[in-house]
Amino acid sequence: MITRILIAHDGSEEARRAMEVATDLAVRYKAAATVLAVLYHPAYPATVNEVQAAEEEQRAFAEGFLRKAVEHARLRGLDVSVEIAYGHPAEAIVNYAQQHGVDLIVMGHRGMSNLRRFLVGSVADRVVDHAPCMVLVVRRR
Amino acid sequence: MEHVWFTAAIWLGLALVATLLSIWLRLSIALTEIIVGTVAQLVIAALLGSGALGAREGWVAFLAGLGAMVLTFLAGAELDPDSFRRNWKEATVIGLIGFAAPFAGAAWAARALLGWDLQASLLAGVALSTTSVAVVYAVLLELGLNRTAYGKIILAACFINDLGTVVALGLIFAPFTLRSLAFVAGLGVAVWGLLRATRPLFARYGGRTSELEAKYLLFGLFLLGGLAVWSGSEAVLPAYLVGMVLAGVVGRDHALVRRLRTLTFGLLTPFYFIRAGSFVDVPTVIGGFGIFLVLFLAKAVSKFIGIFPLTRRYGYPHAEGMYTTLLMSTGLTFGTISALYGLSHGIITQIQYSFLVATVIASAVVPTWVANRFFLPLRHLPQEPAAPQSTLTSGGE
Repeated sequence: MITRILIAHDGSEEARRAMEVATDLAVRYKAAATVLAVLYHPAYPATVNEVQAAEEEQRAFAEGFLRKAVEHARLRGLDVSVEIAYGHPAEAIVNYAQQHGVDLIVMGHRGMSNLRRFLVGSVADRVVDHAPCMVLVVRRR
Repeated sequence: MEHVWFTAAIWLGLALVATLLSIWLRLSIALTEIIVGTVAQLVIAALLGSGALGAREGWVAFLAGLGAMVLTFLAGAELDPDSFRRNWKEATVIGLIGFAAPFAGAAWAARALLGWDLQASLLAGVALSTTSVAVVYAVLLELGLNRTAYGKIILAACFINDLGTVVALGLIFAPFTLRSLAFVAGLGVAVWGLLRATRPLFARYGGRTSELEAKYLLFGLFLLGGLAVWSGSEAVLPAYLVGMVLAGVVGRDHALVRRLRTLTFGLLTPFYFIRAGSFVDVPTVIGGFGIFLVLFLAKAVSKFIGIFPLTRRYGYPHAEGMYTTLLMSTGLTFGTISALYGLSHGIITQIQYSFLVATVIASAVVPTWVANRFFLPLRHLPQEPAAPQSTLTSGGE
């Protein structure tokens, strides 16, 4: 039985697809749904202002796509809550799922260049490896 | 003339690469620009010859120096005057010891253990005496500690620590002559004038596309920088002091700070940080890992000896004292500024510079990792995640 769904959203097209799939599932199972955006502060900055600016920019961006996600869910008759967390995306998603008894994590998968995969790794891979629950990864069409 | 444009294109191309890396790796632009500068120097020197990057050309040095100056001004302007007034006693004591202990410790280690000459040892002491307000702020913000009294004391102490560093850099290597007195007098008059004139001037003529504020601030920084260098001192000293003095005016004007940031990060600091990185000799650092270790331990141990007992005296629990000590053991901007000053003025060699910058970068990374991994000040942590509550409402509301 699925009662709590966590939708990890980063504003990408893939995340929007994941949102659609998760909304359908939440309606079907009458599950509570939360949309989580994970922001970060640049590590080892030169000025405080750099950190504050990054936070302002990311927060404005996140609030934009979270608002659309809420509207999308509302149109389908679903109440969703939204959360903003800070840190490494995979770690924040897994921590949230652990702390809130999530049954299913739904997230998009961007696909990455080999260089980016080498440098930063895949968030979806890490969440699948460490999640305490089921994970549904929505790939590009 | 085309040579200048091609050289500029190379530098901005490197800045672009550094920016992409900073986004992908979630690191600061400063750190990635230093790293890109280091790698680029190796690659470009191998492909095109050692001078191809043009790091020693006059106009590159000017833009880099201006970057350091504006960066230092912005760092000074980030002081929170209200918070500082509330915590000034504790912050001043911790900050001054946080500067003095590693200055003495690192200078001693460089002189006694590494055999550097006196001037180079003092420069090492200055470069490793710093803390990084910005690195500490980022760590505190991540945990929501920046809004607590505890976090504000640490940040205020970091300002005092860096003030010690900047004053030391500005005075230790300056010959004391009549020019020094003229510089101090000029600085005093300028600070007095800025305090009186800036707010009304900005209120009357600011906020226009003619950018009076930026021109006014740059005019002041150039004039005082020139006076400082003329007296044998360093331009970042007046920049930091002016920043602190104008913190209440400039620091709270978000639109002005944003415009200065565009100028600084969009054009100036790439030249500064990439240039700073380009002088690092990687094979030397790898080959002399022991020297790097001596410098790093000298900074870490002397920070510990200076700050940890103080925190206990102020009643901090053990973990909190360690956390404070480790955060104040960080360093980045002023460490590289000090090291580059030493290299530019022939106080240290490029080999010594390479070790100092490597140590400064390590001191940005290692203490923050250890602090967050082992010594989190749990009693100050918010019960909920540190993120500010979202302003969005749930769909049902």
